[in-house]
Amino acid sequence: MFNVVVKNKQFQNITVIADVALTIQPGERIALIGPSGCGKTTLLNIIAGLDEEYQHARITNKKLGYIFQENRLLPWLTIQENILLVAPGQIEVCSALLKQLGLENVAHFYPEQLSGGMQKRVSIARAFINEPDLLLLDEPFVSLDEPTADGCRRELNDLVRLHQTTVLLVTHDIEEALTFADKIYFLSPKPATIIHTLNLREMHQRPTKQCLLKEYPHILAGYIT
Amino acid sequence: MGILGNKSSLQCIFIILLIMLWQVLASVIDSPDLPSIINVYSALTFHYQKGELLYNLGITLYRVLFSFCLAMVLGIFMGILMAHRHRINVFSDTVLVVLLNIPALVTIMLAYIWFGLIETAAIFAVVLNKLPNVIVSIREGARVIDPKLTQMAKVYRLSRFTYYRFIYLPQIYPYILLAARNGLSLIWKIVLVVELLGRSDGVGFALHSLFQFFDIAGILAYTFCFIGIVFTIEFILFKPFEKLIQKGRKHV
Repeated sequence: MFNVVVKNKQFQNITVIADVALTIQPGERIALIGPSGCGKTTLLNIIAGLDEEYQHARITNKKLGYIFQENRLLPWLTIQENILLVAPGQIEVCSALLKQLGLENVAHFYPEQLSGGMQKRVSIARAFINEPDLLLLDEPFVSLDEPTADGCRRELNDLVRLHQTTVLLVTHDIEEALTFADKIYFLSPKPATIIHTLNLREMHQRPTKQCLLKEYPHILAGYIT
Repeated sequence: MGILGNKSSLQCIFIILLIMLWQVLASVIDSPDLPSIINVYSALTFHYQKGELLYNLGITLYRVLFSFCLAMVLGIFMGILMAHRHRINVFSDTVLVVLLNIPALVTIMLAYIWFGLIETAAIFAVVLNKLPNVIVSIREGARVIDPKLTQMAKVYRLSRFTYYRFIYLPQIYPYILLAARNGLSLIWKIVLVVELLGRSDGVGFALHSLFQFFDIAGILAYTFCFIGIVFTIEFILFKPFEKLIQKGRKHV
């Protein structure tokens, strides 16, 4: 189980995150939704240990996977080399993953030679090769067109189910969250706090975007009333 | 592709035209101040047969390569250090500006006066002339290291070695190549001055003696030989390195 408590995280004397406490059960899929600039990425970076100043909420001793908004692949390494960089020697696991993601024919290509969707798949493969205990996703599909994004979502979903991966997804796409997550936390604008929790496992039917917005018209802007 | 479309054949044609123009000019002017290409060639064979041409070229090449490597290694190290350590940068920035602006001649003279007319003084003077340029370009490169890739390395807990070998250094390779290319041409010119002022061998020394006899054909013979060597280094050292850098960056 992961407990993440972030209190009073400041950036240049402005409080970005006021108070956010998350409990993540193994195998659970959590989505964080909040308006732009509310500190969602900051939160993920704190959890991943990327925040130099705020170190006491980082997750240590656990394998992490992180799929960034941009793919952050190394242009001077081939697809296979990019993936093996984080998992030296695991050539067989790598080929299996590449095959599963439909990338087996481009293993020796360079990232620049691939489309955006394929590059995204490479970064998915890189995140899964070490079977992470916690997978962090930072608005992973915003830069893709809808059909491509849907394809990537399906493949990510399959992998998550297959490996029973624990996932923390940051997004501002409510439909993405409603279809993917077990639990959704809604965040307020800066300084961020949790304003609402939606436990989708306890509901016998997942609500649609329309009925959620009917009940809470301003929830995507970060206001519950 | 026609012959005009081929870059290297165009370059060849241009060089041949230049040589022909020179030959024609030399025969029209017909003065010992402008020797023809045939004179230069016979000067070349003369010095080669005397044995001193290869010896002097070898000595100079050794000095060039040794000080080049030393300046590059030191420069890369200090450039990276200055890019990432603010305090070190503040202190050494002034020194850097001073070093960049001291005339090569002054460092050479001072080195000879302080350390004596020895090999170490010569190498020291050359390195000191080149070092600031290397530091400045590497520092620029290290300043634009992409923090997003560094974050990626942190999340996936890559080892320090992996990080520097595959993520950090590839980002400054272009700057290293730039410094190396600028460096080689600068260094061999300075080495000649160093040899002229205080060594009794090397191309600089040979040129000095030839100058005293106004042996222009000899001077040109030596010069072309060394330009040839620099061209060779460009092809066997820099071109492969450039290819390595271009990997994955020029497709699409």
